[in-house]
This record gives sequence, C-alpha cells and structure tokens, in this order.
Amino acid sequence: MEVGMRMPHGSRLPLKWWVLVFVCLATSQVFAQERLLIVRNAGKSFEEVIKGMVDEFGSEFVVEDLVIQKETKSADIASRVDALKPRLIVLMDNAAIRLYRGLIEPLGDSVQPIPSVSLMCIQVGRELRGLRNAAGIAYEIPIATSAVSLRSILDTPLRKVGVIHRPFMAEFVKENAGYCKREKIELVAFEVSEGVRHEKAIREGLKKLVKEDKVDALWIPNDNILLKPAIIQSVWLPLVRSSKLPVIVGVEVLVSPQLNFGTFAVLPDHVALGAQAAEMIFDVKSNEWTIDAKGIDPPLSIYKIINPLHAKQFKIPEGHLRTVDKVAK
Amino acid sequence: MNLRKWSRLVVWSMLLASVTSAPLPAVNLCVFYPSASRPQVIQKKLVDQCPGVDITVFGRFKDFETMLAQTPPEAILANTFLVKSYPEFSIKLDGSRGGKSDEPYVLLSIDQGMDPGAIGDKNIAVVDILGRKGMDSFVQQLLPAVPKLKRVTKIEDLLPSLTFNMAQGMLIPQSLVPYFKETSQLKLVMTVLPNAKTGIVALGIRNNAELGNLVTALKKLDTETKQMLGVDEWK
Repeated sequence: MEVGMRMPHGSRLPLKWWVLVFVCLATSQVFAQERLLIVRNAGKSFEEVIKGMVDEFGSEFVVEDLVIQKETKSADIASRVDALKPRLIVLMDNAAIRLYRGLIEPLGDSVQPIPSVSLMCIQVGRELRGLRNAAGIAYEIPIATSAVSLRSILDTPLRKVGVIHRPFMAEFVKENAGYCKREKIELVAFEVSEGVRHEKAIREGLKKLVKEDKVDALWIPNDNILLKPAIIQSVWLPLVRSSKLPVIVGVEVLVSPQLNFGTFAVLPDHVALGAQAAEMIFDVKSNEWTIDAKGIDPPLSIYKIINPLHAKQFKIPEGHLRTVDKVAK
Repeated sequence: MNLRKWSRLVVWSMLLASVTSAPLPAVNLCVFYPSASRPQVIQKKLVDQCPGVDITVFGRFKDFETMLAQTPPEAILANTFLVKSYPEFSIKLDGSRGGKSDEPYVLLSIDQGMDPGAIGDKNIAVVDILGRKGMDSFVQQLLPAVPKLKRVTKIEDLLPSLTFNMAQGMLIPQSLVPYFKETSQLKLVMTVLPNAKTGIVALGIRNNAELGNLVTALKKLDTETKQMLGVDEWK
C-alpha cells in the first residue's frame, strides 16, 4: 500500500515529499525572523534581564546568546556575527563592549556597524564614546529616583541629600544634581581627591555634610574603594550611626539588620530593565535599524529593600512599607 | 441484622462519609492590577480574606499572560478592559468607585498641559496592562491621536520617565493623580480627556466555573484591600 496524499489532479504524491515541503516552509519562517545577538557575562542578573527582553519580543525576533568566558576574543564575536547576521547586538557588561569595540574599530569609519544596545555596564556613556550606531541604558540608579522614593517612604521633607564620591563620579553627580533640583532636593557633594587617605577624607566629608551642611539623608554610591570592608567598619559605620540620618545604598547586604548600616537599598529591577531594553530595540527597528543620536537612558524601574531596624527607628508608617519590595532579614 | 448486611451498611456509610467530607478543590484566582502596593502585599491581604481560594497576584502583565496561557485559572481579577480581552472569561463582578464602574483617564505632564489632538508626535508613558499591541488598541480608544507609547512595568516608573524627559506626558486613570502629586515636587499639570473612560477592575470567571465562596469573600474585603484594587464596592 502506498502512503501519500492525493493531488488535485488525482495522482498521489508520496508522504515523504509532503514532509520535505513542510520542513522547508517551517525553516524558511525561522530564517525570515530577524535575529538578535546578545553578548554577555554569565550570572543570574544577566539571565533576568534577558527574560525581560525575550518576554517582550515574543516571536518577533530569534535571540542568540553568547556568554563571555575569560578566553573569549573579539574574533569569537566576529565569527558569531558572520554566522547569524543579526540585525542588532545587545552588549551586557563592560567586557562585552570592549570585545565589540575590538571588532568594530579596525573596520574604520567607512563601515556602518551593526546597531548595538548596551546594558548593565558601569558608566555606559563613557564606554560608548566614539562607538557609532550605539545606544544604551545606564546601570546606575539616578539619585533623584532613589531620593524621591525615600522621601515618599519616610513621609518627611528631604531637602538635602549628601554624597561622598571619588572624581570619576563627578559627572554623574553633577547631572543628577540637576534632576534632584527639579524635585526640590539639593544634592550636596563632597569629592574625595585622588591621593588622599580615604578614611581621613570620608571622616572629613561626613563631618562637613552632617554638621555644616545639615543634610537630611546620605547617599552612598557603589564604590568598591570607598566601601572596602575595613573602611565600612572603622569609618562609615560609627559615623553614620552617630549621625542618625537615613542612608541610601546600592547593595542589599548594606541594609541587612546584622550590619545595620543602610536604611534603604535601591537596586535595578533586572526583568523590568530587560523590558526597557526591548522597547529601545523596537524603536531601533522602527527606525530601520539605525540609531541616529546616541541616547543613554536611565533605568526606570527599581527594586527597593528596607532595613527593618531603620524602619522602626525612623517610624516609617506601615502603609508606606507596602511599596517596598523586600524587608531585609 | 446478620453479618453480611451489617458489613454492607458499614461500607456504604464509610463511602458516604468520604464523599461528603472531602474538601472541595481550591478555586484558582489570578490577579493583575497595577498598584503602588507590591503584589506580595496584595496577595497576602487577599489570601487572608478569601479562604479556599488559591490566589496569585502578578506584578507584570507578561507573567499574568503566561500563566493564563499555561495554567488557566477559574477566575481572574484585572482591569476591565483586560478581562474583556479574554473571551473565555465572562464578567461576574464589576468594581466601582464612588458609585461608578468606569473611570476617566487623563494626561499628566510637567509645567503645562497637553493638547490631546496634537500628541501624535509625542512620547506618552503608560503602565503596560495589555502588552505592546494591546496597549496600542487600548490607547486608541482614549486618545484622538495615537502617540508613541513608552510602556513601563510599574506605576511608580511613570514618574522618572517624565523626570528624565523620556516622555512628555503620562496617560493614567484620574484616580492616580493624587499619588503622583503627593510623591513628586514637580509641577504636574492634568489634562482632562473628553470621553476617555474605561472600566476599573472586574472579576472574570471561565466558562461558568464553580467559584465556591470567592464572590462572597470579595464582596466582604476590608476597605484597605479594596482600595489597593482601586474600588470601594462590587456590583
């Protein structure tokens, strides 16, 4: 018995030919979908961001993922790009941007690079300088966003927020001072000069901010030099505790009740960051895969963690804690 | 009574007892209603007041949509427009506020109002309650011209989208205006939109599913929980 399907004119085509036709049609649909390449480091945060992106993409794009290892070179990205021919590249982490630069820069200005969107990079604006057809979303939470959140949780006026920072953050602090001003918050900055002993500088800075400038809260940016464990123990902890001021920090461990240092940790919401990146990519697609002006958008969505001991200390109303994502344990 | 009859009586009694005492299967309710309160807070409030109901509150439209596709619940509680977009669910309860089951939408912008007829080239921030294509259809019903939408995940994300000039205005239910005016010191100006009204929140049930005591429990929710859902009573 011959297995097959009857053609309109009556003859019978073997089933294997119909299977072949079906496979060709199905694979042609896959190849017709536009492809995106993600170049990233390994880690849960990166996976969360990708989830946010892929959820928004649905079936609109085929997404390929290249996880950077220590031995990954620009040539590895080049061969992946040659094979996939992506419409856009997503670069996650500073290492991914540097590898991509290593691929693009030798080509010179005569070649328009594939559009790229960069995320989860420290100072992404600085990293993308000179890179054409590129856009990004900053990873640093704007101070204005954190300060406004703290103000609404505390339900007290927050007129001045003090920050101690190293010179590399000066531009970020200055830009944020403008946004804070719109929200009637004065950002009072103390810059730690290069070459000065950090412990001494932090002591001076805190004394000035608390006693002279009389700030209402402190913002302590993520700086692995100024936040070395020894400096936290010997300088930050005793002085911040004696100031009795609420403190905004950028990592969860600093609001743990055991350490009892920060009041309020503000972190990026990684899944929402992925969704924000997807919106940016849709915009690039609708602009025929061209990025006209390099825009660095701030991250919009945050994840808020409160130190329960400080919540009691500052008498934060129960109703205001409903807007917090997590109470630290 | 002889032993055989006695045995039969015992067996039938046991069977009858097992059927009548077996717990009813839990009703599954999925909730998605963007609120300033976190989903886990709303979930705890609902679980405490709706015994026998298995409740999940979602903070993101995509998570809600995925759950409905993979494990459809018996009931959903969501924005009325969203409930109506699922034809397999019919509305059992309509939330109302101030006696009305629909609410006006407005534009909120910084320093000056907006011209609704001239926003076609503007970026307008909206909370994503329907996905990319769904939001386009939703906004088309509210605005005379469809602007470029900037979708955000949470209500509070709307404010930074204005602060950092990523959008020129936000499209929100009028009931949220006090929240933004209390949170921000920006000079926020409201633009009223003619005929821009839509339902608030509704309970949808799937294919006449059995709901146990869900409807009764929802009607008896405390004031605080109803406020989190944007209503003061159910009709």
